This record gives sequence, C-alpha cells and structure tokens, in this order.
Amino acid sequence: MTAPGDYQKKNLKHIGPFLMSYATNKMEYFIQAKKTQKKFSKIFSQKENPTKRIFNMLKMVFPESKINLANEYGKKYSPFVIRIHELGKSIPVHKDHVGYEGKEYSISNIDYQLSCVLHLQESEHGGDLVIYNKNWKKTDEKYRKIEFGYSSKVVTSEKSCKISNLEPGDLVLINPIQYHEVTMIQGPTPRITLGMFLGFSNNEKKIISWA
Amino acid sequence: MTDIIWGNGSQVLTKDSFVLNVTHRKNGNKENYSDSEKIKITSADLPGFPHNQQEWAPETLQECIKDAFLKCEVDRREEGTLLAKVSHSGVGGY
Repeated sequence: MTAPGDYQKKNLKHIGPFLMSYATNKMEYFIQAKKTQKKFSKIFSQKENPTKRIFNMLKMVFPESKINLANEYGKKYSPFVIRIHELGKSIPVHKDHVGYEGKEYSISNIDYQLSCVLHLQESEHGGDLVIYNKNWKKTDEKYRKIEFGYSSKVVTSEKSCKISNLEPGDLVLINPIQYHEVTMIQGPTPRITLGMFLGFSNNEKKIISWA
Repeated sequence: MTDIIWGNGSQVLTKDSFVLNVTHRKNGNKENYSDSEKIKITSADLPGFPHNQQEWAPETLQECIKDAFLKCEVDRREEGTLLAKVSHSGVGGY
C-alpha cells in the first residue's frame, strides 16, 4: 500500500491528504479526508471557507454547471490541501493527471482536469510558477524521477511561461497535464497555497472538485 | 537490505511476468542488473492492478505496466528471471 512518499515528508509541509499520496490506498485516503474536513471546519470557523468563494467565481464562469466536492459512494473527497513551501524548497517538473495515476478512483473518468491554486502567502524571492508548452504523454514515463516528478530533460527546448508576480489572494487556474514546476523558495517567508483540482465531463453539466 | 531497481514496464510475458527497461539502480545493490530484466511479480501494488493474484491477467498487466515507471524490490534471481515485489514508484504529480 502507498504511504505518503518520502519526497513529501522531507520537502513539503501540508495540511490535508491529497489523492496521489494514496494512489493504491483508497480506504485510507477517505479516512484521512474525513478527519481533515473537521480540521478545516475548525480553521475556517471564524473566516469564510475559501472554497465557497472559489465555487462562486466558477459559477460565474460556468453558470449552467453545478459545482460540488466529489464523492464516491457517499464518501467525500478531500476538499483541498494547504501546502507550505519553505526556504530552499522547490517543486520539480511534473504533471497532474488523475486519469492516469488515480485510476482506482471514480473521478478518474473525467474528461478534463484543471488545477486551481489560491495563493495565501508569497515568499520574498523565488516560488515562481513555470508552465511548459508540452503535454504529458505516457511514453514520457521514461523521464520519471524515483520519488516525484520528471527529469528536466522532458521539457528541454520547450517554450515556457514564468509567472513571478503572484500575490496573496491570486487564484491560478492551469491545465495540469502541461508540465509545470515551482522554482526554489529563496526568501525567509514560506510560500503558502491552497490547492484543489476541478474535473469536467463532456456529457454532464457539473464540475467536481477534490484534492 | 533488499536490492531495488526502477524502470519502465515493457513486454508482458505472462499474467505475472514482464520485461523491465531498467533506468535506476539503488546505490548499494548487492547484485548487478542489466538494462533489460525479466521480472516475475511476487506481489503488486499498482494502480488498477488487482491485489488478488487469482484476478491477474496478461491484459490487465499490460494496461498497468506498459511504459509505466515501476519499482522492483528484488527477492532473488531464478533461471535469469528476477522475482520481485512490483509497485508504482511515487507519482508524477499531485
């Protein structure tokens, strides 16, 4: 069974489970998701839960779609994960694709996936988002690193876009099938984000979210 | 300590064996491993692949290992084939 990878333990602090750490351990994922929902209720008891505002924004963009936290046989998925990236940490080149690595979960049947990241705090320097003009394909698995992500060789000579002026409160939506990375945090203030994914289906006017 | 090799799944040979194109080897492995090794699965932890051996089939194995990045914890070598616990190795993203 999969436990959260060593990469996650050593390099990132986070609040809340995320599905990819439980790719083959669905039962444990849902147990942790339930526990975390109580934690998040506590954290946001005095403040508006940010997912509410994010969902309201999405409703303006997709007025005909219903937006809900994903569930499977009545079990709710984890709503979001808060990630704390400290000095010296970076997130290597990777893609996010629940259809490939999350195939034991019902949400893997979606047609499109978006990554949705709310920036809560930025570091003084570094922590920039870089998106490459290249979609993941299965044969790229030969570039995989042992614990997480891909060798930078997978995006050699690809055009990229660096977003370095993000501020707290900014919401970033990207196609996570395109390779992306976060550059090294170079300031003493940690970069803190709240992340979730959004799933879209061709035949249903609904959007589901999960982390 | 168990020897560990990583690589991408290639040709499926039977319902529980396949060829691994080896890309990484653990520092400190006791044995040497070539760039292509035949693997017989003793246990599996792969997304979409049944835990119950009775349900294993070549088609399912093909779907789960072809090109996939895999971790093989080697138990022993028998007649050229490595007997190993096969699992996905971390993930390529969140």
